[in-house]
Amino acid sequence: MMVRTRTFCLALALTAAAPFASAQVVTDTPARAPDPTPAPESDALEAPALPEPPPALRARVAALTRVAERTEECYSYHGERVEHQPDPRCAQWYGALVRGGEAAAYAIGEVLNRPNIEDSTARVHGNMGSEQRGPRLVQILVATRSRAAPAFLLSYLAVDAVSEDGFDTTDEEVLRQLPRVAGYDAHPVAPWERGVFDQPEARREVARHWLRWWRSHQDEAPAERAASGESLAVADLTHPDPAVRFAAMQRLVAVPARRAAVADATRALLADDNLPARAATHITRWARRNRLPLPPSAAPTTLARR
Amino acid sequence: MRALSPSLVVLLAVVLGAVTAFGRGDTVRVGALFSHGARPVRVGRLPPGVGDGTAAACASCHAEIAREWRESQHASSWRDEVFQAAYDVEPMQFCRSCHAPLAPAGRHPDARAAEEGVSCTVCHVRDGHVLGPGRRPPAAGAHTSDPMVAMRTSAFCEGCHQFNFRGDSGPRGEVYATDEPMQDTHAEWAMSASAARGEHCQGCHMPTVTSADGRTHRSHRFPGGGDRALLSSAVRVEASARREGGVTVARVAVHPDRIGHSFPTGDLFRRAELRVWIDGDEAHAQTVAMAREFRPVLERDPHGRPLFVRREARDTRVAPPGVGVVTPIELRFHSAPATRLRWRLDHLLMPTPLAASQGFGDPRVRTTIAEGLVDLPGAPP
Repeated sequence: MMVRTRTFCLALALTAAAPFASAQVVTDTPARAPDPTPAPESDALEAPALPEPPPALRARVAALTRVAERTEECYSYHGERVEHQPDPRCAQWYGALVRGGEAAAYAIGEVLNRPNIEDSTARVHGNMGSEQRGPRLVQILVATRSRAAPAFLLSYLAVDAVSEDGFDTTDEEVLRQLPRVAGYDAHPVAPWERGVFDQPEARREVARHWLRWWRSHQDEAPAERAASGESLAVADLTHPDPAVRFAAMQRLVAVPARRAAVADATRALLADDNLPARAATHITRWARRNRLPLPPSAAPTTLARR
Repeated sequence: MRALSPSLVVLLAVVLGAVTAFGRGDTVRVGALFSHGARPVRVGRLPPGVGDGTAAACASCHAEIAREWRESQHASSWRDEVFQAAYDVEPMQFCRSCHAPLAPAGRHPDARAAEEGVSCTVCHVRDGHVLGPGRRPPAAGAHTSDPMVAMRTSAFCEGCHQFNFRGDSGPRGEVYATDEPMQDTHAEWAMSASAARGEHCQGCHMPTVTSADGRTHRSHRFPGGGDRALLSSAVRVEASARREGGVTVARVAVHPDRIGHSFPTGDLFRRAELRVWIDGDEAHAQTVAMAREFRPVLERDPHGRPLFVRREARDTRVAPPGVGVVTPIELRFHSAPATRLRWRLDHLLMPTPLAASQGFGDPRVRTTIAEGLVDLPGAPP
């Protein structure tokens, strides 16, 4: 049930395992410094309480929790079982969670918030591809559209922000999915800026931000949050910071009434003389994938005179 | 029947003449020649004058070009040990279509298709015609050549060097092409300053060389990722260093130079590694990887079924020339005061752990393309 590129998956797994297998330090380029301002006492990294499942769902949640636990078995030293040693159970487990609705949200939320979700497979056993388990579970959790999803994600984020663990694929997926549940990304970190999260203080700052957002908006209905998020994103389409502008473009590209504005913003952003090269390539590919018209200069031209 | 007006007759004559002069080549769409890996190449009937269509047959007249081709990665496209190691893990038609394009669909390449790789007929022969970049009068007894202007453009290379991931989505393994580029070289070129200037792949990868008889031709050695000189000219490294309190800070910018796409490009495993260390203390070197990174994303297949597909999460490679502003990399060293720093830029066919898992040592996959030394301001010479 997944893209059938086993070599690629093996490489992904091995790339992820590289830091454990080799002593060399591999870093990325931090593009933004963390905010040095100390947080006020009231802005502590206090994790929201984990939501309890409604009584009617408890049996189903318990069953799906066991399924979510078993996804750990989908990775071996030789790579993903789904692709390297086709094992239909793995596809079935993920499939059951995708179909699990509200109960799956509680099941995944509980598993996600156990200590060291990734340690259990990746670091202890060195199983290849296991770094993909957390991101997959996070995405399924969000896809359930459960109202419990934000609390599970924020709880994970708050605990992780004060841990000694480095920034990993699950952390990144949580940050990528939070704007979806919030309806708006008020603290965008663009893909080309990911290196900033190598700094623990930057991780704590982004966690503080999202916890503040939760305290302000937790009583709103998702539709209400989505509507206000759309308005804010429209305003951000002309924001001077490319990361903010790109977050707004991503938020609005699937809204038919906003596509023209997104196309204009894309062209304007790509024409910005100060746009970092990595941002330019990322945005160009994103625009192509979303079938947005690119500037004419990006089209192949005729033969040069040589 | 109404008589044709003289002007219409003239117009028809001009059109007919143009079509005749243009020849067969330009009536073949480039898109019809290659399929981005979807199926093997369909050469069709061999034209007279090309023997059995093997590279050896072509070499009987085109000896110099054949010699160049034998040294190329096109010639070893199937035999290449790095490709073979990957193919062992995942033997797909998708791979065979480009690496052994003369093998019939659904079949393992026979000895001839394996030996030929991407040979003369793959690019130059279709349906009884020899296609060339221009018209040349044939020597006595040789074949004619139909001009195909597209052969001089990047569009000709796109059919094999630009393609998307394949996905499968069910128990019967239905295969479909996703919209995520697995190799994106042509699109990288299309966004580059090289494309805007009208420069095409052939400019660097088929340079003009002088033949033994003094005439010039386009090299068929196809220098690329295996050519150290070409790799070295692709990027330019600017490095400086300074002290901030007790910390030594290296600032390194890697600029695209003589290149028309991202660096590195091609296969998704290709990467560059910039390694920086305080002179005499390589054990504490810091390495910056420049590569594409992917992640699984929950989406729906063409039938509406949920599945995880690969999406690019990040691309930290050197962007094509003319695309955005290069952001320098800063690395901080907290060790003892340094007098100078060393740096090295390597091109890798794949990450070292992956290479090891396939039985390749680091030297097989790593090429050092540039290195340098940076004195810290105020340090004794």
